[in-house]
Amino acid sequence: MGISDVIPVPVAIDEEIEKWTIFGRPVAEVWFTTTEKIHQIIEMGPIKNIFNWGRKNSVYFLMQPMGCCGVEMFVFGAAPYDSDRFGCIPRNTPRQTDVMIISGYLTRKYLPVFKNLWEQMPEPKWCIAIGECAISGGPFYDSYNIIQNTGDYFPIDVFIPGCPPRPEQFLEGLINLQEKIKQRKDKRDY
Amino acid sequence: MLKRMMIKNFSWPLKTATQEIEITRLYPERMMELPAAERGIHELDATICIGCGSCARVCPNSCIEMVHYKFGNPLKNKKMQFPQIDFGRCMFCGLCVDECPVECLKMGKKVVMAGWERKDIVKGPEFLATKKFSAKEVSDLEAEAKRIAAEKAAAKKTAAKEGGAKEGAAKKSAKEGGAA
Amino acid sequence: MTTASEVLSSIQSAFPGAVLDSRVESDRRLWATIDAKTILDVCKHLSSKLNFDHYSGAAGVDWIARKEMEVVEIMASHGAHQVVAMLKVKTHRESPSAKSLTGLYWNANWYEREIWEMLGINFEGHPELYPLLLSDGLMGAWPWRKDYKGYPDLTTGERAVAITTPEGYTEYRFPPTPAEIEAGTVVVERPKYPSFREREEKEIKSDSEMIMHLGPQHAMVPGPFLLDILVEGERVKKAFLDLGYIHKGIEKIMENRTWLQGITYTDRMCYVASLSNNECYCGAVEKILGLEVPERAQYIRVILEELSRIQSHLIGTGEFLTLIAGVGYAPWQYMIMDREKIISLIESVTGARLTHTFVRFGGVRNDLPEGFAEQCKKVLPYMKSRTEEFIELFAQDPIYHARMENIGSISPETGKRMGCSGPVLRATGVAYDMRKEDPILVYPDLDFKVITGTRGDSADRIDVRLREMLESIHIIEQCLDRIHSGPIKTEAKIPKKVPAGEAYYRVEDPRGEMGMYVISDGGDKPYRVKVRGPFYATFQTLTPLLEGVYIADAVAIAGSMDGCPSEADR
Repeated sequence: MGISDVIPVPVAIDEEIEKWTIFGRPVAEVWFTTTEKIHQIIEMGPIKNIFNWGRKNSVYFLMQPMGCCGVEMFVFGAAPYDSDRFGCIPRNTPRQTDVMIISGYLTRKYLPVFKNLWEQMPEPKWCIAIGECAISGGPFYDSYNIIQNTGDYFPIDVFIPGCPPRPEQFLEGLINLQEKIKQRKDKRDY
Repeated sequence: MLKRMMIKNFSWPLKTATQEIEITRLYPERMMELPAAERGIHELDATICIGCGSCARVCPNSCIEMVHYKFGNPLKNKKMQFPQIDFGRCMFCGLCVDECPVECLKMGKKVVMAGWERKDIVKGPEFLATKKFSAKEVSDLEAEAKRIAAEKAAAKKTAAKEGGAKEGAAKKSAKEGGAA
Repeated sequence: MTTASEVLSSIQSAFPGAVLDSRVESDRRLWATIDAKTILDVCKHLSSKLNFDHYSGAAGVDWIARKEMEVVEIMASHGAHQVVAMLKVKTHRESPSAKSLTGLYWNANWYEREIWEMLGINFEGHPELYPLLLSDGLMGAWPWRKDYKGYPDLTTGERAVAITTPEGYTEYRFPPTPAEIEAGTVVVERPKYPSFREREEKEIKSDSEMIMHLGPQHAMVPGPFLLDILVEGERVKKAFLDLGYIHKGIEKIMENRTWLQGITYTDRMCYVASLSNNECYCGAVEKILGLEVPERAQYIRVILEELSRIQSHLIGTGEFLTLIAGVGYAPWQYMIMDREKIISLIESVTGARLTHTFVRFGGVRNDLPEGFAEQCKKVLPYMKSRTEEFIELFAQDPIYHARMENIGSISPETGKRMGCSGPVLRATGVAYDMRKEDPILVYPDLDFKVITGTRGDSADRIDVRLREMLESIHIIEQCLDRIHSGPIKTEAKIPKKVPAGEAYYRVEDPRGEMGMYVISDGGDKPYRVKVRGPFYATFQTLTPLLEGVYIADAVAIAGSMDGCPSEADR
């Protein structure tokens, strides 16, 4: 997963440029470098850290209450815990979000829908598993309808135990995620 | 009429805003005060745990596993088995705490925990134990346990000998007689 | 006053030979096994002659040892009398079938569908026998049957296979494992029925109609469900509901946990009313065990349940306001702020914010902490003044009234016929409250009113909830005055194994009538636990209510029901 997924790369122009020559040598080598090369430089250098600094302070999460943890998610987003302090603002549509909070049981019937929501989110995106149902199936681990290891389907960066976790733990999860983004250790490697 | 009502509605937020009450709980800076009954992360007193495993049996999610741990009390817990809790499964219901016969497992006021990997939130006795013995104390206790075991064995032996002496007196004398 | 024995003799005289077996548990409970052929006539007799106008639900039980299945119809009355008749109909285990009551009681529809998809009992004469909770992959496996091998060895974890479709979407399939094939739980012959999508597309009659999807992901309803509305212009022509997105199979799981462990699962059925659920389950088991709860424990239970009702109504009203006005609407923040105060009170006793696991058989887990009464006396007057302000705020806001009045109105007759309960039914003017109807704990000694509305519309439902909060505060204040020290647990030893028997216990959940039907076969685990949830019944009334309203009102009506899909799905 490179930066080219985030910023659209005009591939056709790149290819065209590579064909140009100057004094018998490709223009790209002599005159100016390709977009790919610019991206490689960004990947290596401190510019990427600036990118991630911006990303980590604006992690919008999807309001997606699925169980008991969903009720705590309301509280976490509302005045008593005020997630806005960390740049975490609840959004109602996956198109505007960066973080998917799995806040409950994933069932056979809901898994395809949930995957759809995940795919609708624009890159870069992260995933947090909140509560034991999201981590391991929880009390329903042996049910006929529950998916146990959500980690197999989604790249979960932070695991928050609790049933349901207190809103403080939601905050802790987001702080952990921010730390992970800052250290560039997240699963999808942004 | 309508205007008056609208103004009255606006007076509500104004009133709340000027009350100077603290609503937001500023978590990372300050943790709110939790009640004594709070069911947070478990605390294990390894010095009195007897390793009976009743917590593991009562757990509805079977998230407790008994594992070996060095710094417990070998006098009470002969096989040195202590609970290891998978917090990715634990639902903090408190049944294990109610069930513990020696009240060594408690639920504390610490509630915050996060793991970057799934295995990070499986916590063994090392993490859970709030009270434990040092290595020296353990070796002393082990020595004492050995001594007690040896004493017991000796007592058993003597008891067996005495019992044997009474029962097998005739045999012995017969043997002695045979030897003689 | 009709009693259970009178009901029994009335049936026996009207239909000689129809009652195969009967037991009168008390004046309020009648258990009878009815001949399968006459069940429709008996029910007709009950509803027309004996005022059994409330079809409370149905449960299917698989008696594998006896090679039969049972359908238990639960009947009650809306206040005419307090008898709950549990009528059992037996059927063979091979090709089980029973007569459908949908012609007599409109709301039997969902209960029978659920029994069909879970146990495979076919209902003759049912208009739409389609799956309700299960995904298509599990249909035909009959997961609630006792010989279902998918539990507990062959669960669904790690089995989903991701397939990317040509369009680029990810789909999941659940192929059977070799062990499953060997065990024979693979669905060989799936019952034939049109899928949900096909059913709703069949209703599109002209080009000017289209289907709008609301869900399954909702921002402000704590649980996913799919509400599809068929619209023509701005009007809703027909609504379709699809549940089961968070169907967890709690009833099946509880059959495989010990009696004590079962309490933890009742918490997670409806997480904003977990104390009522605890109470309902423990009450039913106490009934089988014949336990007496000490008075102090009863008062503690009542105090906490009423506190729980306040917080549930607060969050329900708050959700409703966000649905009609957006997340930034200030009352939502106010309600969450106030709710935190109540939650802190509950937490100081139970130690958890939502899932309390607090009620035990014959008592409660722990005593009230020191200074609880003082804390209550500080918070409750504040809550009272706030609630009065909320009521005033809603009463005087002309915009709110223009938007909410006469929207989604239910008449008392319709409400009774549709089987809804709780604030939704009380808003229509029917004073039907389990705390008066089937009193438990110390409720008979307490003085409180049953709050009713007049119009039965969205505004009334909210108003009833808010005024009920005042009533709850009044109840708690009485309890705090009357409570005195004493034991909090019964002295009798609670056995690991519960003697064989059955019980049906009803409580007033914040959302309405909550009933649990518990069967014990003398083991250390329940044989069957059937949950009659309040929101399941209310949910069912949503689709007919939405017919003919504006699209914008659909959300206002659905929100005013105070939804908890988790409890409907179980």
